[in-house]
Amino acid sequence: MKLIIRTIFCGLLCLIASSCDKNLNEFLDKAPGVDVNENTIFSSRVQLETYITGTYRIGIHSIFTYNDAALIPTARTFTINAAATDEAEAEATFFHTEAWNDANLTTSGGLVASEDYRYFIRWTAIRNCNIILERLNDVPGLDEPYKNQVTGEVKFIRALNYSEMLKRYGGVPIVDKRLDPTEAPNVKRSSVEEIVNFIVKDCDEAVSLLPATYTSNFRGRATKTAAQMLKARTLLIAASPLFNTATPYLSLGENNKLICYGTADNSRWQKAADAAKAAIDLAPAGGFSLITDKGVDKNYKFVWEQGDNAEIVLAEKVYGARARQQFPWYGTTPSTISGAWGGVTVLHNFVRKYEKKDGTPQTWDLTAGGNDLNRKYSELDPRFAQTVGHNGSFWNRDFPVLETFQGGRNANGCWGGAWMKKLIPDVLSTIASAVPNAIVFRLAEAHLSYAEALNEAQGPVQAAHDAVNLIRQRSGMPKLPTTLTKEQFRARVHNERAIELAFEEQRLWDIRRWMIAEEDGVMRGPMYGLRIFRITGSTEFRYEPYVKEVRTFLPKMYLHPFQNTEVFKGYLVQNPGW
Amino acid sequence: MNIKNYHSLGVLLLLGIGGNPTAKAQGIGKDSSVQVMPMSRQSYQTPIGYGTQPAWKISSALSTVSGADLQKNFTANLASAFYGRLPGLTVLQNSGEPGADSPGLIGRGINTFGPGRNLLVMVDGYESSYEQLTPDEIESVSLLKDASATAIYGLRGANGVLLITTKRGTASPLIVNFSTQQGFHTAYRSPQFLGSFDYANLYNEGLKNDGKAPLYTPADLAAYQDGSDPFFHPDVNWYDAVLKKTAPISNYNLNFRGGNSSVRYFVLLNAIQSNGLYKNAGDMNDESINSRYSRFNFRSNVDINLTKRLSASLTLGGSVEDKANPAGITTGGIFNSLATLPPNAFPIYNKNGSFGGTSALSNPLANLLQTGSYTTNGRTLQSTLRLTEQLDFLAQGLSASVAVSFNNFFRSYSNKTKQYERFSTTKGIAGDTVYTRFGQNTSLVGNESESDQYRNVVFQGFLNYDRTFGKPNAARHDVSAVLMYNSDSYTNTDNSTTAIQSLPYKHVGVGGRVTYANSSKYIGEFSFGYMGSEAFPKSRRYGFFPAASVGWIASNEGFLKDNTTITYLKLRGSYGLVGNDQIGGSRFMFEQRYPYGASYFLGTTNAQVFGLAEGAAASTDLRWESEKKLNIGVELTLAKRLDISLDIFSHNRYDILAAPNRTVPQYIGVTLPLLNQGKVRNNGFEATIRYGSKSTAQLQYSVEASGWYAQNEIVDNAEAIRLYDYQYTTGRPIGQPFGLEALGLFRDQAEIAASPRQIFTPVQPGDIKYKDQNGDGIIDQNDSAPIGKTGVPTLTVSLHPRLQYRGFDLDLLFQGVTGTTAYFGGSYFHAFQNNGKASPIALDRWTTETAATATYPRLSASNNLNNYRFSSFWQRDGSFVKLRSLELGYTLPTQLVEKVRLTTARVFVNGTNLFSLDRMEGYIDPEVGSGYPALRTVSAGIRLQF
Repeated sequence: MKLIIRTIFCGLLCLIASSCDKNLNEFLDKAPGVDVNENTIFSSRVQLETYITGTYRIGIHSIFTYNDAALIPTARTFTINAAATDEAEAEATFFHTEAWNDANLTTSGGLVASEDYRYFIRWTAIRNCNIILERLNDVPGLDEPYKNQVTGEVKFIRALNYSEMLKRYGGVPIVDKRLDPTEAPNVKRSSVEEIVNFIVKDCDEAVSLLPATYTSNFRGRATKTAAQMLKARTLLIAASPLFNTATPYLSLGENNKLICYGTADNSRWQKAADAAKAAIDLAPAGGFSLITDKGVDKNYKFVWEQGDNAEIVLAEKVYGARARQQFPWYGTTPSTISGAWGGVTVLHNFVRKYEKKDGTPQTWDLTAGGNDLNRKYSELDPRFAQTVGHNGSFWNRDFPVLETFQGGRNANGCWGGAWMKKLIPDVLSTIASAVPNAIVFRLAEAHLSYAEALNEAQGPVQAAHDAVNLIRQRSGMPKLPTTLTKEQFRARVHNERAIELAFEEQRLWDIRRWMIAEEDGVMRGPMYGLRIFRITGSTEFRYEPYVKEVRTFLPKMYLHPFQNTEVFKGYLVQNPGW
Repeated sequence: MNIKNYHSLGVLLLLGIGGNPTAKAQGIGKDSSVQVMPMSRQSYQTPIGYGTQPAWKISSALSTVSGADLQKNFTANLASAFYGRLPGLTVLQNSGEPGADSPGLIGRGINTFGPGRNLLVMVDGYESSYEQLTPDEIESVSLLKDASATAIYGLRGANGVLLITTKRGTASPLIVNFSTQQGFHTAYRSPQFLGSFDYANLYNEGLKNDGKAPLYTPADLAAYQDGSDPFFHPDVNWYDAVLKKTAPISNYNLNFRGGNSSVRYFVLLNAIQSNGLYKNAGDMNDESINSRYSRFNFRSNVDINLTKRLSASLTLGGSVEDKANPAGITTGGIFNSLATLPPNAFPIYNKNGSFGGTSALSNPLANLLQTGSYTTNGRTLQSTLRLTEQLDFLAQGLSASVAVSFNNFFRSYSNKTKQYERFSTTKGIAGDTVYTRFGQNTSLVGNESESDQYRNVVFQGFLNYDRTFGKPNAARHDVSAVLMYNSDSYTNTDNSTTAIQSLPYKHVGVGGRVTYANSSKYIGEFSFGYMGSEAFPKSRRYGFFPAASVGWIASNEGFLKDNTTITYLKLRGSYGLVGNDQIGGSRFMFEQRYPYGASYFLGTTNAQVFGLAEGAAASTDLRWESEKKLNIGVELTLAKRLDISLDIFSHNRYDILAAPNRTVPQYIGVTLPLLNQGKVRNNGFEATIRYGSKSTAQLQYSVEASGWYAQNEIVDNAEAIRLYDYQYTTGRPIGQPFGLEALGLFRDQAEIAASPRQIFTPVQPGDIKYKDQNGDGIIDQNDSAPIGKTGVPTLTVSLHPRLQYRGFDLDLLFQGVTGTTAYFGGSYFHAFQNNGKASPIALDRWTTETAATATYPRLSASNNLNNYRFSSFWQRDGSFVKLRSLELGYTLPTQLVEKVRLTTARVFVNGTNLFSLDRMEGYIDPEVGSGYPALRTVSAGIRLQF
């Protein structure tokens, strides 16, 4: 008995002693293999691919907005920016675009009001790119072509995110390596010129390193053409009046170069034109081409409705099929259709931009209205019917006929008299059946940018005409008159861009870089809607324009405000006026 | 812990008052049981970290309560007996629901803004679940407060340590105790709501205020008033429909205690059942179950002297608890619908006997009767084997011991659900009733699984030394020392635990303590813990936590020796460093992890491709929270009858995790790492005064009054720079509420026009007017400023009078708090919000007629974004005084009970949580504002000893 007890006693002692002996650190070590850390990521091509996939998810911008906390951990906007411009007005009154219309943006109102809800994850995307560049060579067994491709991809994604910041803020801090948060790094804003050069350098390298095309199961990843289009877009922004000037829209004193070049130089337009031309030239090798074979009244809709069509150089692909009661549709389809928060209602200011099929302006009586709405609509550019869901038009199978007349089924909240139909495919329904076709780059933009830049650089030369006419003619519109002056051509190409790229998140940035926001009816002054009435005993409808609202635009809104929470950290020079 | 210490544990009973039969059985005189005997108290072996010490030798800060005192609160949760009993322990009541009524326990206030604020609770020296223990098996509960008392717990001691010691056997003849207590609960301040007539009237008024037409016609109102149409104009008090007035609670206890020089034992069996206040669903229907909580406890603590030098000590305690709930896992949903469902929404039963209800609203009674049941079965096991070898042959007073302990908690659930049909009714054209069905009757389906479990395995080894040198009346040197090794590994999982969460939590380390006392006058102590945890990076896992304390018993000095006024005086002080490894954040965050799925759709067929994203930046230099604790204490006894003790403390916690929001730019591009940079200061005191009767008086009494106070302040939490100074949480207490400051109600349009614009919604007379803190002419979220106090009281007071006269004894415990703010929120106070109903508080609403006296804003039938914001308008002083327990007992004359072979017999009546004096205007309990109500328990019982 005693012996047994003593044995137990000694046994326990030995147990304790042995656990002391057996390196106490080992006792406290974490069991391996329960989580993924950075070394796991850079241990094989398969693991690396998961991180690249994650970088695409975070890094590719979208023309849609997703209220998805998994994607954007901070607060998100609910609708697209169209309602901040003359394109549209939002049905719901609590969307962020109201703050733009009332010039209510503030430095403490949060990033949602200023529309830049991606601010934080944009820096995350840049960090991802820098981490991959830093550690790519640590991954064993990668071949050179793959390494080149990955380097090109992350440089493209980094440049894309900088380009998105350039048009919002002007110069921003350049972060080209991973920073350690505990070292309190202090990177100041770079000048506009430095940012443009940084983006162009990344794009040039990406163009040289990226493949022209991928196999179909990798559609969605960056190509040579995508990188060249990004370069073209960036140089167009750089050449435009907002930045290409000796004196900025508001003075920032000695820091003026953070918000403009500080010199006006017309040769910047030529660089933009050259870049756009290079993109057009690269396209065929990548399998990209304008859609021209669906019919002049169908080509345009095919481009925005059909995912991965030949015209799309790069699309954002965060989501698969979605239902109409889900984002992105939840903030872009009329409440009477989706049961959602509300749609985007097209302003008459924008409808007036559509020419008639013969290339002349449509006449609208803004004071008295008229009894011939159907006729007026039917005379418009074919792209109108493929963009705007107007009274009497087909919406989709669930709602074959839109009724936006007073008392009609879809009139509630339809301030402008019509709904945005573009971006909302016919197959959208209550089941998850529609894949958002979130266009980042499509070839038509390159042609329009080429025309615009070439006109600014050289005047309305034939190549500029050809580029615009290519876009007009594939939608059944006549060529521009050959007699246009440089100024007239500019006006026409600006209008063409508004029509062709409507609701593709281009208008707000175009307005700002052209500095036309303060013109009457663009982002300032009266915004017209139509009140539509049935005419008894007729299939025609009466329209009565009315001023939906009078908008305010302050010059400081030509660039976004940085949020106070960032400015207070002391490294940022705030943009002027904020 | 030395076995021999247990011999003197009986002295502990001195702290209790008569009524504990065991005290008498051990020959402790009836009188002494209430008398204040300073020297006896000073020799009492007080539990301290991994050992015991006679009270006089203690130079650290701790407070102790005996198990006998805890019996005065009749509750199924041990922690619910702690109210007001341990100076320094703040106890926060959460709910009265049997089996879900764990109160929050805070030792010496809150010292960190991090999430880890819990006390370390040790049962017989091992971390274990403790709320299932029953007071009858508890010898004492001690709260270790200062650095000197907690340093030996190393990384784990900074929030304070609660030591629970269970009873052990004594070398005395067998004593058998049997007791039973029977009583019933009632809800304390169950919410009252307005009936249909008042509801409809006020609703119409709210609609009118909103510029809308009334909903209820005069005919409707008349029908509500005279109750003539119970099916189409119902008036249902849903609380009464679902809750009973009373529910029974009962307890049975049987224990055996005794032993001889070689074997000593304490064996206990206890059964408690506490029923819930829900109507007896199970009696009315086979598909539901009655609400109840029942638990069986058993304990078998045995000490055996195996040889002259070797002894073994076995601690075995366990419990099995069953909790049954009608209608699902939580009661929150039921109480939510009871508190919102308008009285006229639908009748309980329709005319044809079916359940009333609508498409959106279900029937709370039917939810109880017809949706199945949720039962859980929980088991705790606490088992320790300890072997001790006296090593006197090596050095006098030296012993070594080893221990292994296994503590386990396991709970499984069985969830049975079904659906039922309900009908909304309308009047047909012919005056008949048209029924529309919602939902459908389904049969019961069930699933059963583990819900959570906890287990730990602890190995310990000790070297103890305890020796006194010198002669009793000459210079005496008391030396005691302990050196111990500890390794523990515990696992805590539930059915949603991820792989990384289910990895065991581990500590390993050594600790020690050396105490030296010179001639019972001068005391010095040094203790330390050196401990490591798996939670920290490999290179910096171990921390060293030293503490020192000194004491001076002045009354043992010559100049005070014969003083009859100052009969005892001790001064003590301690200073040291302690750690807290419950720091928050995610596990192993010192490594850069990539935990987030970030998939993307690639290819023309939109195939989802798995992706990963980086988590928050790694906290590569991760450390624990550290705290420097200073404690100064005085113990004074005047004329042997008045005891005064005072402890003043100052805590400085640092290295609290906080993200560097103030400095690090967002262009870092990663969620900021948590860095050890936060600082909190916390100061306070505990004071106790106790006055007792003379030991010879026939009427024995004592009154003990205590107060304890702690006030913290965030010194640094790295918060982002704010626009206005009043928006900072830095410099304010942890948990400071921020909201709008209400200035009253708008009198008229002129006042609105003259006031800053309130942006939330257009205001009208009778709406709440807010203060423009920044003076920008606009009331918005930027005007949110500190309002009121935190939810944790700064000051707790208790008053504990006891008296004994002949066979009668009376014991009361009052507990009060102040320095806290309560909030009148939710459906009970915010009339008609979120489709809710209205309570009597809304009767004092603003109308043009009552504008001068109104205390409630004008009514609104829809959600009002101005009036029901978080603001000072709805705050009330959360101070209260509660009578936590009252017990009146009568011990039968010994001559009488001896005839039936009893040693003692005592009958008693007990009240727990009898009343509350507070500022809640009678509406709610100051601590339990919503959900399952606080309970008042009245009971009677008998204790017999053989």
